[in-house]
Amino acid sequence: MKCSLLTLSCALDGELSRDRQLELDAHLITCERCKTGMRYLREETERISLLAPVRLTSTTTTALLERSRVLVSAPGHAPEEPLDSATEPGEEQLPDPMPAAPDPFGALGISAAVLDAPAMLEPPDIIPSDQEEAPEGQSDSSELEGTDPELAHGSAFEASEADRSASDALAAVPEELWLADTSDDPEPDPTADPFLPTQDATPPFAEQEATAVDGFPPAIAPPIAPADEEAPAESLGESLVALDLPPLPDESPSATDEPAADDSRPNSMVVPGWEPATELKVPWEDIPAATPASEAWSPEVAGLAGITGLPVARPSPLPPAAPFPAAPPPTRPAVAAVPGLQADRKSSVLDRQPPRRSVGGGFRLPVAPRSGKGGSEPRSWSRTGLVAVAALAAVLILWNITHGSKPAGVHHSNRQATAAASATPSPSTSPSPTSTATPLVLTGTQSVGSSGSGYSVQTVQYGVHGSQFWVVFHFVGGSGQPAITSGFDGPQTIYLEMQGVAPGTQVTQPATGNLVTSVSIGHVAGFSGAVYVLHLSRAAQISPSQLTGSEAGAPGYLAIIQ
Amino acid sequence: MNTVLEKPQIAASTLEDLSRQHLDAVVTYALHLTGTAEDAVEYVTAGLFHARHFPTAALQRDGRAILYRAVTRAARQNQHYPPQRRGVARLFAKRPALISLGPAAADATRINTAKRALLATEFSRRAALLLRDLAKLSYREIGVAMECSPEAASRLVASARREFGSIYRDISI
Repeated sequence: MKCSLLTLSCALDGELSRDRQLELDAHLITCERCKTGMRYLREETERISLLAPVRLTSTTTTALLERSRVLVSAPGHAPEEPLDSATEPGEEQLPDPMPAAPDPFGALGISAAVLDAPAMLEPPDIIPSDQEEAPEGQSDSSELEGTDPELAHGSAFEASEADRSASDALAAVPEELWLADTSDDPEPDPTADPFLPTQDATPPFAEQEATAVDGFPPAIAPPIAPADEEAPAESLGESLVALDLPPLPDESPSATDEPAADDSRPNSMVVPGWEPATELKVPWEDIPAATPASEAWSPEVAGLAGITGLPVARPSPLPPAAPFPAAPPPTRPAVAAVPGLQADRKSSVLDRQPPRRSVGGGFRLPVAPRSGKGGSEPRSWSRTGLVAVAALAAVLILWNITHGSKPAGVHHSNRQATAAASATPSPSTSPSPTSTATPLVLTGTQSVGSSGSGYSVQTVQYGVHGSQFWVVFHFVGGSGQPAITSGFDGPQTIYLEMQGVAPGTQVTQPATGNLVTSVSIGHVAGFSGAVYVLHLSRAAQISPSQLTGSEAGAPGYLAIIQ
Repeated sequence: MNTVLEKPQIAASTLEDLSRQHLDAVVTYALHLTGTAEDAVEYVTAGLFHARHFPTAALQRDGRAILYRAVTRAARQNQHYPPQRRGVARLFAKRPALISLGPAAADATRINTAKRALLATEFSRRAALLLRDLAKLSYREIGVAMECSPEAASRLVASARREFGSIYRDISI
C-alpha cells in the first residue's frame, strides 16, 4: 500500500471501505510517516472542531428567517405573497440575487404550499355579497392569493405593495370597527366612529367647501349619487328651465334640430368608472365653458346655488404667475432686413461658418471667436478647457467611487484571509550583504546568551501576533548559548550581532506591509559572527529572547518587535 | 421532444423547519467561512432567500446539505441580501438595519491562530474543511453542498487539511 494523504484523510473520516481500512491499519504499524501524518490530521480536525459555535436567540432566529422570507408560520404574520414576488418593502424589483443557479422548477413548487397559509386579514363580513356569489368558473388563483387579478397578472412588486398597503390599512383600523357589520347597524355613532359612513354620506357641496384644512381649499369633487337615486333627465331639465337656462332637447330620434356634425361628438359626458348618475344628459353645445369668461362668476352669482357638480373657478392660493418674458430681439438684424437672406438660411452667406478642423480622428477643436465683433461662436478655449477638466475630474471621481473601494481580485469575504496571508513569508531571496565601513555605534543594545559556538542560521521565520511582529532565527549545530546583541542604528534599523553563529545562505524576506520590511545579512568590521540587519517601516522597540531546543525544536533567537 | 418535469410539491414549512433546526450550525459555518458576523448574516440571509425563491426537489432528500449549499454559493459569489447596488447608485441606496448576532458570536468572531490559518486557506478548501470537521457532513453531503462528486469532496477535504496544517504550523511560532 502506498502512503497517501487522501487515504489517511478518508480513514480519519470513516469513509474508507472495510478492506481498505484493514489494509491501512496494517500499513500504519510499520510506516512511521503515515503514523505522523495521521497524528497531524487528527490535530487539525480537533482544531477545526474546537472553533466556537454560535447560539442564536429566538429573536435573532426569527429576524433572520423573516429577512430571508422563509418564515411562514409565525403567529400574526401577514399572508405570504407569491414566491416570485419576494421583494423587500421599499425596494424596487431587483434582479435575481443568484443568477448562476437558475432552477427550472421556478417558484411554482411552493406556490401550492403558500396557498395553505392563513387566510387573509380581511374579515368575511365586509366581503360584498356579489363577490361571494361569483361563479366557480372564475380564476381561483386570484381569489386565493388575495390580490386583484390585474395585480396578480401584473408586476409582482405592485402585488406585494398592494398586499402590504392593504394589510397596513386594515391594521390601522381597530378590530371592532372592521368586524362590525355596518349595513345592519341601524344607528351608527358618527362621533365615536369616524370611519363608518353616516346616513348622509355625501354632504352638500357647500359643507365640503367649509371643511378647508390649514388654509388650503378643499378638493372640489362632485358628489357621486348612488345608482338607485339617479335623477331623471326630465327633472334636471325642469330645474334648468326654472333657472332660465335652455331646456334639454328632445332625445327622440325624430328631432330634426340636432346638427348632423354632432355625430362625431358624444351626446353626453360619461366619465369612465363613475356611477351612471354622473352622466350629464346635456347636449355638447349647451355645456358651459369649463373656464368662465369672468373671474367673478360663481354658482351663486349665476343663480345656480342649488346645483352641485358644476365647475367653479376659485381664486388660487398661489401667487400670480409672472408674465411671460418678451421675445428676445433678433440677433442678426442684417439678416432680418434682407428678405432674400431670411428666406433661405442655408444659403445665407452670413450664416456660413468656417469649416472646423478635425484632429485625431473626428475630435473637433472649438473655433475661436472671431476677432473684433466677437462672432456667433459662444465657446472659447478657456471655457472648453475648464469643461473638459471638470468632466475628466468627475469621471475620475466616479471611477474611484465605483471601482476604487476594493482592490481588484480581492474577495469580499477574504479580507481577513488576505490580512492573515500577509503574515506568511514570501519566497526566499538571495542575501544582499550590508557592509558598514565606518565603525558601528548601536544604541539601545540588549544582549542574550553568553557563550556558544558552531551554530549556523538555518531558517528565519516571521509571525504577526497582534501588534507584535516576531522574527525567529533557527540555529543548527553548535553548543551552548550564543551571545547575541541587538541594537539600533537609527530608529528604523536594527542590527543583530550573533557571536559564534554563521549566517545562512538565504534570507527569507517578510511579506510586504508588515512592521519589518526587509532583512539582510550585514557585515561589521571586526566582528566575526553573523550580522542581520532588520529594516523597519517605523520606529519600534525590540524584546529579544533566547530559544532553547525544547521550545522550538532547535535552539534559536526570538526578536519581538513592536 | 421536450421532457417536462413534474413540478416539485414542497411544503413551505419544510424549509422553515429545516432552517430553524440547522440555523445555528449554518450561521456558525458562515461565520467561520467569512470571518465576520456581518458577512455571515448577509450570506445566510441570501442563501435562505435563494433556497426559498428557487425550491428544489432535493430539499427533502438532502435536507441540511441544501442549506449549506445555498450559503456556500452566496458566499462564493459574494451575493448579499438585499442585493447591493452597483455604481454610484449604491451611495444612495437605503440599507436595511443589520441583524446583529450580538454576544452569541463574540467567541466565534475572536481571531486566534486556527482562525487565522483557516482564513488564509483557499475558499473551496476552507468551506470543505468546515463542512467536514465543523458541520460534520458526510462526503456525499459535502458533494451536494460544494456541488461536486463525493470523490472530489474527499480530495478537497484532504487537500484542505494539508494546506491548513501547513499554514498553521508556519504561523504558530
